[in-house]
Amino acid sequence: MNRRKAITLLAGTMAGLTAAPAFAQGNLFDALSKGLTKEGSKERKTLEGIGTILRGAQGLDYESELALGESLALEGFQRYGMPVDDEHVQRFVNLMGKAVAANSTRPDIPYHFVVVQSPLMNAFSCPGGIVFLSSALVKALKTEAQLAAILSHEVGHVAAKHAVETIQQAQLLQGVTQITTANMDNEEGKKFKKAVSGMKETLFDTGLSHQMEFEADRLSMQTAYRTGYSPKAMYEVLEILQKHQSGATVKGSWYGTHPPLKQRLAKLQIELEKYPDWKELRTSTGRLGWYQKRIK
Amino acid sequence: MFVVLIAGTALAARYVWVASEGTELRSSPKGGSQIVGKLKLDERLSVQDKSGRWYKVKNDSGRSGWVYRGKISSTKPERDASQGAPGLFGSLDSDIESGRASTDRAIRGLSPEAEAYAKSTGTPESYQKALDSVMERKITRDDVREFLQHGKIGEYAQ
Repeated sequence: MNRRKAITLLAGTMAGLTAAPAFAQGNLFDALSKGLTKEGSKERKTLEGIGTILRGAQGLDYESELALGESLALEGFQRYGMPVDDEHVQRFVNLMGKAVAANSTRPDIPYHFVVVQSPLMNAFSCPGGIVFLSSALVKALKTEAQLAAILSHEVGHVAAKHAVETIQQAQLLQGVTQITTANMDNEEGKKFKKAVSGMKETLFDTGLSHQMEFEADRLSMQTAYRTGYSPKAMYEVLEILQKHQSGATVKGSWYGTHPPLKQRLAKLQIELEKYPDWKELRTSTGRLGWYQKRIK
Repeated sequence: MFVVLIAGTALAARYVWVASEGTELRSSPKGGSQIVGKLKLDERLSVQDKSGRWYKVKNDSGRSGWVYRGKISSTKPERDASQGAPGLFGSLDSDIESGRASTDRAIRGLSPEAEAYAKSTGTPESYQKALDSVMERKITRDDVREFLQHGKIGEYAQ
């Protein structure tokens, strides 16, 4: 195949594939290059290059994302504590978490939620949908809608792939679209460990970018509202955090890893105007207190 | 990104799209009414009528019914499907396609990479067991429906 024909083919394929996911497009370009070009030819390199770029734009596949998330979750238990030993509490949080996740911008993956025994006011999410909440944060809440707001905020981070994006920006996983190593000593394994370490530092200590946190706040209001919870609850959570701020531990908590509360409150006040009927949505159901009492 | 459907905008928009996983069509604008159909994520619907927080819609196959406003979007969702993900409820979902169940976390255990990571970093077994217990908790679509019904939340609000 000459260069001109390859380019014509490329243009035709692009026109027919604009609606397909980037990952599928990338794989198709690889298949095309193998079927229609000679090994080592310029045309094959061109088509294979496009395939790599398209998959790169899509990012990691779900299995690889989850593998990173599971590894980070192991670090999460080490850093913040073990799960609260009460199946009623864990089930309640998972029921609510799944309920809000169904209405999130990424409703097609299984999410898992865990309350860990920790005195820090904290919540974070691992890639692939594993969400941590500290017992102190759950106990500080006043309404069920506030818990739904925190869960929606964390689901928002997963949906927008903020943690993965952060390590990709830091070039810790540049060009990697699929992780398939069970050997942490080879090159790919070393990259994997570096990526987990980078995420650990970001999520446990330095925090995601302010822009990502503002986006998760906005998504929290949207997701909670669509589920049927008051979107104002996210604003109320930040007010509760403000009240507890004096004397609270900053390192490793929401105080240390999130933008200043004043900034977030100001943005959320404006965001709330999108929901003129927010007062008609559910805030309390009378269930939360029973579960909070079960947490030591 | 979704645009939340604010009351009054859908009829003008004419078309809406299914934005939530597990969206159901009902016989009347009430959460407790009969389920007359299940809608696919991102499916296009034409708006026929509105009652409170419910919209009467018809899909391209001609099936019509009522849908709760939180389940739809006035703009077509723009997203890439999560390649290889088993869906929100994994193999516990009665609607699941049989081929997708093979990637369910509850069946396959911790990913080989996470296991290798734990071994390489000397992660205590107790943390791996803790993660296993988190990942293996079984929540079904019916459980979530009951949770929302009991709390009178969203489509079950009265």
